[in-house]
Amino acid sequence: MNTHVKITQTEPADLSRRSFLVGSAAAGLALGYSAVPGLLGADQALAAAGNFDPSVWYSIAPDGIVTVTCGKADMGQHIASTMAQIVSEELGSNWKDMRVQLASNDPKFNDPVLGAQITGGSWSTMMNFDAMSRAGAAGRMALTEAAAAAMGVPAGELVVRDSVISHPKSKKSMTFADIVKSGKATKTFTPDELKAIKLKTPDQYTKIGVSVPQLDIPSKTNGTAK
Amino acid sequence: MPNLNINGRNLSVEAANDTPLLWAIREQLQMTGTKFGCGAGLCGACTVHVNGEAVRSCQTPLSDVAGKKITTIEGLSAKGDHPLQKAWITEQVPQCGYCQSGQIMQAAALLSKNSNPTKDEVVAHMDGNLCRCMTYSRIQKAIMRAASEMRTASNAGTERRAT
Repeated sequence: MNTHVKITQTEPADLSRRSFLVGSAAAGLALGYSAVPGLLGADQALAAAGNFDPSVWYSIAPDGIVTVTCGKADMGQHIASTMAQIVSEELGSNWKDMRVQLASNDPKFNDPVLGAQITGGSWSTMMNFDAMSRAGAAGRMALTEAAAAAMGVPAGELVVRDSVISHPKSKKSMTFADIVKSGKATKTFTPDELKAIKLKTPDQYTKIGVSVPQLDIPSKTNGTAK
Repeated sequence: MPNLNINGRNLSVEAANDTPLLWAIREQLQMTGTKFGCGAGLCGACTVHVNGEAVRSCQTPLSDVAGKKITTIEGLSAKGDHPLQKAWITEQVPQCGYCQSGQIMQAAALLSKNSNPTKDEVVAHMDGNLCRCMTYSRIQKAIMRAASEMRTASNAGTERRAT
């Protein structure tokens, strides 16, 4: 496996746009986004009411489907699936629940390091690894907190695996879909809190470093890819 | 206004008789799975079936296909589960994907007549379908896999409807 290059984050100009949003505010966001005319599919799809939108980079629908929005030009290098893989690693979602879509040219989808939508130089994974990891981890924390409240158990005793949050001691469990449907995933993160999240270390990875089915491939075998 | 039989449906298109079939499929009928590659019959991205034969739809005027059965990638199987489509996913063939509808249709024409092709026969049959991403080796593997699956299915007595 490759060594991940540590990118020193420069403060992006619009950090607030990229900071974490209140989960239950999805409907409000939906209005905000869909009020902008002429946008491509990404925003409208993300803005569905009832979804849990932990960041601009992905959204979890009430059926548990996690849709990652890729701000890179995926020209067959499967970078969108790579972004989903990074999110999924920290989020703790089942790979079967992951979907990808390409971003519109809205600046909120700019590369977090480059500050623009640029694809090339084998930079995409390196420069988005930290942002996608933190987005995934924050989503997991928000879902875990909601699950802990719903189950009445300490969040620290919960285990997140394959889109299920379980409490081994009491054998209680909730799926991501259950939690999103409940609308209780409301934890918010300031940019500083996001930065302070302790990410997995490489020895803890279960998805990164593993060859997974690329998410854009089925649509390229049946004529539905656009 | 030619009538076309595409994927089992009779459709009429507003186009002149000398319009390339590809134009009718993509522009009039908005079925965009079939791709415009070179427009000159050189690359195979626009491959569809006419009466089961793989043809380049960019070079086929509508007047040539009247009364014939046309199949596009959208009609190859009901649920995208033709053995080739499944093998394409198993072998993770597509990269950019642009040529792949044509590749699959070209391969399907071969397997419908010969479910036990040699590697050389596959290479010869696929020769005119270009892939700028160079997915050729995976295409070959996927075709051999699909052929094997089709033979197993027919040996097991499973009836496979022609699609």
